[in-house]
Amino acid sequence: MLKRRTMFAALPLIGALALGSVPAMADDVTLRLWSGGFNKEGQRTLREVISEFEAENPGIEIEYTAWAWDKYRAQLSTAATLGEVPDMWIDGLMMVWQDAGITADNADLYAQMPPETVAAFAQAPIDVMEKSTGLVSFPLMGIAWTIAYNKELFAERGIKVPTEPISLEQLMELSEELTFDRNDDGRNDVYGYGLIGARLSSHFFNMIFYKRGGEWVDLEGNLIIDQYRDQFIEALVYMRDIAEFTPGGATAAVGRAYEGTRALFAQERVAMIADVGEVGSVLLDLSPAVAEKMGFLRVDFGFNSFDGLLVGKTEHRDEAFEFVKFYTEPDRLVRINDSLGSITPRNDVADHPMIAGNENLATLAEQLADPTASLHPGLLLSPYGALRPAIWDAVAEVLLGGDPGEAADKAIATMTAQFAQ
Amino acid sequence: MADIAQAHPTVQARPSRVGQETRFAQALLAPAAVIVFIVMILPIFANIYISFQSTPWGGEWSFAGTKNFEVLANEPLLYIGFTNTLIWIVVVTTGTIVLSFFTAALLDSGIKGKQFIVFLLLVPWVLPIPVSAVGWVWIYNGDFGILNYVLADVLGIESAYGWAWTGHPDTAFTSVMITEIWRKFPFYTIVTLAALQTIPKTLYEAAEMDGAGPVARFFHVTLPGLKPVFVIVILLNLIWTFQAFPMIYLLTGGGPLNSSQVMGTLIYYLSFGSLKFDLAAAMGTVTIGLLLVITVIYIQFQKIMARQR
Repeated sequence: MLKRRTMFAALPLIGALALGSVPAMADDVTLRLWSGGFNKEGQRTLREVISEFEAENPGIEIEYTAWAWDKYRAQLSTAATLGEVPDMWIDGLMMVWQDAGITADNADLYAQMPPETVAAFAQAPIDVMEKSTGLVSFPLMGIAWTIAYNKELFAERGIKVPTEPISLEQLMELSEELTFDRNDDGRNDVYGYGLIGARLSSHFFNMIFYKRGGEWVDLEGNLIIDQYRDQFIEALVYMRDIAEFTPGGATAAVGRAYEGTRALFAQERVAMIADVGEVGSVLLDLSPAVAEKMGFLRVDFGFNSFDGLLVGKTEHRDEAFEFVKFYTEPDRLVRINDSLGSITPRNDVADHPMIAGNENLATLAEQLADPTASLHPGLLLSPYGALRPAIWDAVAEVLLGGDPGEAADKAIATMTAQFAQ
Repeated sequence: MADIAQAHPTVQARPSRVGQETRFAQALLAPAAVIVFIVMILPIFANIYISFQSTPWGGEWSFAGTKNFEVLANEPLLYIGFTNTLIWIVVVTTGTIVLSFFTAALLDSGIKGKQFIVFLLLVPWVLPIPVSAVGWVWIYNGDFGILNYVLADVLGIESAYGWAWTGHPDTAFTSVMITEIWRKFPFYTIVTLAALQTIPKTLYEAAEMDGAGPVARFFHVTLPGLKPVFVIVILLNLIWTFQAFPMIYLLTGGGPLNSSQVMGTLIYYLSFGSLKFDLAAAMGTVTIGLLLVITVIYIQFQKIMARQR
């Protein structure tokens, strides 16, 4: 009896819930968004932007998953195989996902954007996309590789900080001048350049290789590095030469990875390193005092990379496009990039309070906007990540006294074979 | 049988107590068996299946026959990985066994503070591998490591200045093997110590009375007494060591110049670095085959040991 009474009492509530929720459920759209390798601050800001979007767009929900970098592309690849691709994902690779058949040409969505917005985007990646994969993604983050330097070490050696972009030859000269024995104990205490000779040595290698005219791929995504053997060798030789001005010389540089050179910079044992904007926040953790002394030099051998938000073959393109318009708005794009330590890929944000007056960001923004700077091959080249270790090995081999020609041939052969598989 | 059943109908009608217990035990084991099947046996078959497939990035899979194995056969990295794995097994197993034996013998000799030493010994074993690895990464660090500080600044060995122990092909693999032995030997020390303590003291006394010196007592009393434990320890160590991955991955990542690549790290990089799941699976299948051989040897040894007992 009690049960029946309870049931009757609950009926209006069940009815109200059913009537109220069913139409709303039918209208609701859930978009899946993936990123890979975002730092905690970047993830937090992106979630913040997503919450703002959901508040302004009731009925559209974004389910955001932040993957660890080393698992990200395996996860995407598996999702592609299983037909479980998210509606939107953030990546620098384009062609590989196009080959997998999961991208969509979003030229029509670009056409719906205000022309001034499209014109404000960094044009380099858009140009490359148009010529190769089509407009599959929208700008999200920009990365400019340049030289970070310690202002006080320059002052201590009486070296005027160059105001014009420096060349590779100038970098070598500066490295030599900044290598010195501070306490007269017969051993150098400060070195001009922190060379990476191991994992991620390919970043500095690429800067030299591109400057010498080298290319990894053509616009169709074909590996053409074998046509640039001379440039390959020149880059290796340059790295071997600059190792003279790095702590411990070439042998020590072989074992030094990315984190190691940043730690040396934080200890003021090296005056210059090749790095990106992210180093600023890393230094704040390692040594706030040195972070204040850090500046960026404009270089004529820099290279840029871009990560975009790919809108795939989703059933909810309109809703995804709403999100694209929302996050690419200047303030939000600045906030996202600030938290990621990257450069906002828009040319109309210099007056933004988070950017104005920040000398380092201004330098990086100029570097990113440099039309002569090369683009990271990852933008096109499918298995770039898998090919890079061949460069790391070539650099290590040369630093250990190996012949640059032989090291280059070996690396090119390895990459060609891997690319063909 | 039929006569007995007719004469004693209750014998067949009521299941035996042993049978009931067996079924009860089987029922208790069933969930674990199902889980083991799902998380271990099934992936092994899945791995073997994938090793005969072509798995392009995000694309459709297709049957590839033995192509993946043919590619691997022409891949120098496979031979580097295989050779390094063998070196790893021999050095780490030998180093661990020898070091654990001597430490156990020392502890069994009535040394003072034995309990405290045993406690200290267990620290490397109980520490999570990533924690140990981070510590050793800093010990070996060329620029900031304590090893180089002692060698270069305290002992005055100039060549040690800046030497990255895990970053140089001449020392990377050895450095990781030393770390692995450091991590493993405490466990085997405890096992060996327990075995040593089971050898009756009267055997040593009898041997001494027969005129046996320390060396003779070691070869004729201690070693035979430890034999059953050693066989199990060596075989288990072989299997566990074959699965080498975390310490190498965390300390050197298989580098530099692939000098510390073993089968485990190669499989990882083929899978998650190159996204060549097919080749990685083929390498996994080769590894499974080799592990099966070791496992069969292990089981045969166990049977022989059981017969001897």
